[in-house]
Amino acid sequence: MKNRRSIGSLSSALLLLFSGTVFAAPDGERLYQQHCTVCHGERGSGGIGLPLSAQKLNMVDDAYLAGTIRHGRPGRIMPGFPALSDGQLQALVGHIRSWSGGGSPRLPALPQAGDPVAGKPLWGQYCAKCHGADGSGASGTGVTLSRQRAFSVMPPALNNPGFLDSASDALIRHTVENGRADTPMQAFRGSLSTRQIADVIAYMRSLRGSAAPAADPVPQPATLITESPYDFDATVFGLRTALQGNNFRIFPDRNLEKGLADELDVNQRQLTLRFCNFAELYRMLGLDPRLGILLPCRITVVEDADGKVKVLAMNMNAVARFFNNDLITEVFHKMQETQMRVIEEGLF
Amino acid sequence: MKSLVRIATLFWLAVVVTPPAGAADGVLMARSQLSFWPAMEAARAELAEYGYKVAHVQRCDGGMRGMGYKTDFYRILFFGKLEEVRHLSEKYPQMIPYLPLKLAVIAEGEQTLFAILNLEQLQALFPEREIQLQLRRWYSDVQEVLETLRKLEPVPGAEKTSGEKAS
Repeated sequence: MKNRRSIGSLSSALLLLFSGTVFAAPDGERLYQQHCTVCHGERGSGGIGLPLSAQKLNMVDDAYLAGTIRHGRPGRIMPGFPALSDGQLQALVGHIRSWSGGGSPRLPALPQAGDPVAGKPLWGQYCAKCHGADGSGASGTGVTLSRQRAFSVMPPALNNPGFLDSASDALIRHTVENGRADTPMQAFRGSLSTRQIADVIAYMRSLRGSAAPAADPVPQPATLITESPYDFDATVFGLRTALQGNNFRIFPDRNLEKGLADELDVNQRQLTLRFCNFAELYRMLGLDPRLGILLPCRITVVEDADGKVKVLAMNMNAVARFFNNDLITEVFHKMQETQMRVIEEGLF
Repeated sequence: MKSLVRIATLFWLAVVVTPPAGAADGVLMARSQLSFWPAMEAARAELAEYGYKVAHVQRCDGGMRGMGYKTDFYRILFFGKLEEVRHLSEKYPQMIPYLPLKLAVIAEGEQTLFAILNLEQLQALFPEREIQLQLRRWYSDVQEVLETLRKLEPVPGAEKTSGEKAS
């Protein structure tokens, strides 16, 4: 009896405790700040993420916004948020809509299903120039960095499963007919008939890419470790020469502990060679401006207590997983190859 | 009774404690209302609050500008604690390429973004228990630092508009 009363009291207390958080209506503004502000800006001005301008919001319906948030864009920076409830998604979309001044537009349904075979040449004629023959769009993201680019907003990957699962045929038709304000996407009303637009949409859906980047077949080690046949100084010299031979700009070497320890106390047998290829760096920052967290490229030479000299480098293939971006994964594979070549040449 | 408390605790963890922003992503990020230079200083000060020293500031934009590219301010803060870096680099040399930790500071107009590799997810690359514990501690510290930076309000008149700070 006593136990039952305790359980009852505890249950009431828990109910009171949780009622304010669990059962309250989701707060769209708080959710936006928590999940979206960092990339899209406080009021959708854009940044690493695309601008959520009033013009854009007025062109897309709530289902598209909710689907985009839920599915994200697999293989691109925009993550999905599958854990958000329908209520949270609705609140989030409501908050985003609050600054556009408009509601979800009513989009007329397509009167008939399209024919992908008929849509293919139309795609090549009207869409492929910006969105790519395979629908993969242009590389790059958002509007951050004042770099010069071909487009103010990059043409999106229309073959992305996140896009295709979020955008109804009606929405795509609306966009094709009316274009997108403030972007190079022009209106095709008058150039394409409803039938032709349906065919293009059917072809676009046939371009659907894979939902997830291919997983690494084997677990990757975090670090590439190579034993050097040479002593410490000869190893450093060999690597530096190899870096120069591979057209890298080399920054002054740094001891690992430099800046953390007093100068005389720094371990001199842990030396990091730092290097960069600026043309490649600029291209990579265009793909994902956050890549600085791995910069600059580094190879470290260490001599242990037994006098063995090792060369250590970050395994770029292993860290590629952190960026949810197929394009980055490709670049990292190439960087890894270059890094391996430098180490091989330096220790030859 | 104990099991009820356990269930309640799990429920509280699962429902009430929401993960911090960006936690599901491979990159932890925060947007600060501060412009670039005050944000850099705030980051340095906040890291010091947690016992970390900024070892070095790497410019990314300068070299790129030198090549004719036009970019915003972009710096990398290398930070750490000497005893941790020394211990880990000696015992686990495979950690060396990840040391010291790096925080990217990126100007976006009048605001500033911070980005760092998700140290919690980095555990997947390091099976050693001691490294995993260390990564979790760093993750916790970094989340708190980012949360503070996220909440800081600009002080009128305190904005530094140009010039490089000594690193």
